Amino acid sequence: MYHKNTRGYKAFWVHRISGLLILGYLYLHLVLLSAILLPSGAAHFNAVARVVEQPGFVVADIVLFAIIVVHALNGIRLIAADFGAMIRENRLAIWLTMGIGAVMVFIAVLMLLPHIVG
Amino acid sequence: MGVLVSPAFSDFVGYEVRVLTVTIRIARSNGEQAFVVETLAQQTVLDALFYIQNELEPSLSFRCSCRVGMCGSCGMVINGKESLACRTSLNPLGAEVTVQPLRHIPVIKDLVVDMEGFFSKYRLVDPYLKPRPGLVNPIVAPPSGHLREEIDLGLECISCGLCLSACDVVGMVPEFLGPAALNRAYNLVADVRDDLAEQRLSMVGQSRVGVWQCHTHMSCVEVCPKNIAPTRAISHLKRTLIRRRITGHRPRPMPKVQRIVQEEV
Amino acid sequence: MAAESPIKTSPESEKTSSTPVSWAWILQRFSGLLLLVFLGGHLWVEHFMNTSAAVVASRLTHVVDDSLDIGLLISVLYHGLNGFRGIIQEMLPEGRGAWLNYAVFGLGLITVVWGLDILWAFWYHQPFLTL
Ligand code: SF4
Ligand code: FES
Repeated sequence: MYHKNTRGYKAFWVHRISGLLILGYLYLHLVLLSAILLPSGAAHFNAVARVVEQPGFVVADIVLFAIIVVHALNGIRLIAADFGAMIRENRLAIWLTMGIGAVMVFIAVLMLLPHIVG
Repeated sequence: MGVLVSPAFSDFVGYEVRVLTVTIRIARSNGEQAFVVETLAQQTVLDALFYIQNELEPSLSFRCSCRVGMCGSCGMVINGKESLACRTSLNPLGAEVTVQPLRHIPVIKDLVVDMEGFFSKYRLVDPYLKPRPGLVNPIVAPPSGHLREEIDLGLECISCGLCLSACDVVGMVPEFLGPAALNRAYNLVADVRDDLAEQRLSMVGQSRVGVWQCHTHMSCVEVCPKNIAPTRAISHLKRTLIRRRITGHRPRPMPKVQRIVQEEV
Repeated sequence: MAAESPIKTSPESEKTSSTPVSWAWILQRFSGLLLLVFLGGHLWVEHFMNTSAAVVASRLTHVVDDSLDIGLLISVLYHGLNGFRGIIQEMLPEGRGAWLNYAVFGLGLITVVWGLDILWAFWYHQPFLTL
């Protein structure tokens, strides 16, 4: 009724859902790459590659990158906890996770900006 | 926060005496009920519950015993966080306070829960020390020294059940032993005088029941009133089990306890 | 207190899963750490955007890149599908997970073959198994 869920619980669902999204993307990735399996595959592949270079897809790429970064950094936090590290400091660890993730996504945006704005 | 009662009286007792007006919403067995309570700022949620029971609603049920945070019977969910009512002062909680019974164990009435739901899990890890054969009484791990270092960290548990209530994994998988029982199991496994390590490890190594079910939410660490970190104990058990899985079964060597004990005596 | 209480559960019962859970657990962590290397490398080599067939093909002629991609394929599938299996298994009632292990293992095997075929198509300019 009133229960406020703890930060670890929220992080757990973020981890689960991001993991499932990445798994879904993996299959999408394989489907798109499968253009190469068609007869005269290189031409098909290049056609697909032209499409996914559109700015909209690059923005989606950044979102995907952000999801992967969140999952990876949170995973590192959990493995650290399995070695007994950053357990009492969990609050700090989660903030670190988010901070480092934000910086990494920011760098990715800077690197990909030319592909978005033209 | 609150209204200053009387400067002269405050001077007399040596601190500012303020009165708070707090609305306390209690999740009772027959639905939520709100009470408006005037209390001194220094008072605890347990004091407020007593006031309600004495003056407003005699049928309100809750548990307590020691009133100083050492018996573990007044655990409840206060403003969404598992807390000991006797150790939670009203002052920082604000004008609206919600009080619920502990989660994941059956409610008997109002804020009174059936702690059998907690102790039935606790019992599964055999929460007592069985001395290794050959040790001469008294079997002491001296208060100073490395034998103590490891077990002292988790010994303070008062079986309040706050961690079990805070653990959302128990909510998802009811057979999961939960933080307190696993913390107790680790404490005994880490205790070199104990003879039941094998049984305890095989108990906590099972899927769903044991340590592998822990999703490292660390909610137990946040709520424990004794500042225990059950997650840490669980991580130790995981590593112990993994080490045994990789290296094969290896009984622990007979410890040097005997020598230390004899030196001590 | 209660010193006569016996141990109630037999030691060998690692229930629900035909793979001992401790192996699944440690491999999930291990593959996760591998993925930091493989996926980091993958994204770095791709440079986020570099996708014409010629570029990808030339890149793939190198042994390092080959092993990177095969390693990535296998570890990402283990990590992803094992995580997926865990989520489903947790939702199933106890002792009802045996079919799930086979189903997910089969899915993983098919996907590895699929992924290898894509890599093969880049290495040898035509797939081993054509669509
Ligand atoms: S570990 Fe802490 S929260 Fe859990 S029962 Fe013991 S004292 Fe209470
Ligand atoms: S009454 Fe004993 S811990 Fe609160």
